Amino acid sequence: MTERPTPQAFALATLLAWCLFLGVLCDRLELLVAAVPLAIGFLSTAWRRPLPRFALGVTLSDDRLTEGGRVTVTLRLAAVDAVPAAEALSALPRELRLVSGTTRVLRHIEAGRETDWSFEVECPARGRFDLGLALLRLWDRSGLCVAEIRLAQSADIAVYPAIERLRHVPQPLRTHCSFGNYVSSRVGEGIEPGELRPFVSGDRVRHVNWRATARRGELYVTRFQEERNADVVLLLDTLSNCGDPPHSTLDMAVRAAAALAQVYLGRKDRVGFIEFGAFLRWISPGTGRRQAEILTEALLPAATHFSYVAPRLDRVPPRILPPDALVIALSPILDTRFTDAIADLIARRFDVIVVAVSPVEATRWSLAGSAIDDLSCRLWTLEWRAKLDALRRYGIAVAEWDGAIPLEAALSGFQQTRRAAGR
Amino acid sequence: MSRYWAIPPVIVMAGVPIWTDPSDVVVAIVGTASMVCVIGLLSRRLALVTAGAVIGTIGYAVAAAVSARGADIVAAAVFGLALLVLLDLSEFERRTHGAAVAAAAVRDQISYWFARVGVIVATVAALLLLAAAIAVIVPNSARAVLAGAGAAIAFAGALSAGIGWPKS
Repeated sequence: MTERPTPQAFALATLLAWCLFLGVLCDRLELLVAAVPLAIGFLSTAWRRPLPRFALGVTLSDDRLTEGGRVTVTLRLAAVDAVPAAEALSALPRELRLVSGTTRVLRHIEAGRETDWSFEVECPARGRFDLGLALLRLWDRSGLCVAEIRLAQSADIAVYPAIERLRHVPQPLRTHCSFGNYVSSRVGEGIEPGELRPFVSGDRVRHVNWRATARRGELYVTRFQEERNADVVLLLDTLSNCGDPPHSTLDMAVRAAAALAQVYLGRKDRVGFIEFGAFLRWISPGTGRRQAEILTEALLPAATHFSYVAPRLDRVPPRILPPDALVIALSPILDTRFTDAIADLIARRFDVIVVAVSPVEATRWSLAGSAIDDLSCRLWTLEWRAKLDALRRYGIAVAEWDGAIPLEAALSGFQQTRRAAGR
Repeated sequence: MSRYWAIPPVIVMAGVPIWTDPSDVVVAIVGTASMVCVIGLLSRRLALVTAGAVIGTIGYAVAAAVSARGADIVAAAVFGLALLVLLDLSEFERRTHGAAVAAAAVRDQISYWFARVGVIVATVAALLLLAAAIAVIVPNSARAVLAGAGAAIAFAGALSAGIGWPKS
């Protein structure tokens, strides 16, 4: 707590000094009499009350939201002693937007009473935010002295990325050994007929293909292709970011990663996550709803940190980046360190696809939209697409996504190319 | 509370010097003071309001110096009160601007201001009575000694207030 004189105290002292000075200079009684109210006003701080005791509480209507969600914050100030004038300011993080109510109030509270006020906040961008920080000013009635207090309560909210529903996502080329939803190239137990072969001792009678047996005159059995799951690793580029939240490339990439993770986990695949930024941060592949929760929590704090260091994916353990995993890279393709890492993965025969989040459209959101801006964006688009073409020449599957079209539409290009590859 | 509530004290601050001596010089000085005060009120800058009040005080000093009339104690007290109320109102409006102010807080503040005005009026009256009594009782030769003692007490009081100001 800091108690200090206000600018009004200095203004009053200045006026008092001028009155006394001019009174002495002009040798006039009027100015000395005029100084009396000012002097009494100044001396009134001497009879100020001791600082009151009080407690501040913060209540949230919800602490888990998705992007665009709203939360009602209620602050309650309970006074033990009378508070003549308490000015309270709830310090909102700049990413949040005040929808209704006010964050700054001036209240007078009688001893033993309490007062509360509410305001509604919209959370347009993902992240963790603290709404429990309040700044309190206890004004002396004279206005000449103020006590300032910074109160930090525990009132965190988590804003999760809005997840787009996807029905079709790129199929992994290689499957894992556990059961799943993909038709594997291996034959064994399954429901998808694979091939016919002559009956051998040990084959189950229920697998006998009677139509082929009748045609060939000897026993034939149907062999089935196994349904297997796959490993999917989401590789998020946090080396660069363009635009302002919630339309930045990183926010779009996080939304895409969350949507892809939901779909692949729904198909019983093991999904992992690697944040490729100033430092490497990862979540080992796993399945189930718990993994979905872990991945969503891991995506929340994803942010850009400047660094000269080039992270190396060959240092990531194989249990985090399995050799047969489908790697989905989400990046604005601006930093050569990331494209080099992708090229390295391709060289190591990883199955890699790149979802290129357009930095041009993300930047366009924060521009005025003048003719010069438009021309610049068009030129930048040409330059950026040339980069994507260079990646494609490497043999990397690249889908361009600008956020204006659904992610599923952007990913649909992969279906045909991967099917044509015969894999 | 609107910032225009501080306009009446500005009018009083300008009116007292003109009433004391309605010369061109005083009108010019006080007019400038009023303009600076009003700009300060509109732009919510305490420094400008203070500057205007200081110019107004200078105008009042000029008016009192050139006036042929005797000292008007009531007008002087009203002038000082106007300066105090001007600072109070302008600063209260400035610091509550943009905040949701509870009616109880405004009521409490206004009652405090009225109480303080009462204290000031009573103090000025008491001082005038005391001054009249001293003028009758104390001989001419002892008045300088009494004035010096008063100045010393005032200086000691200001010093103790400065030392005793609460720290963080």
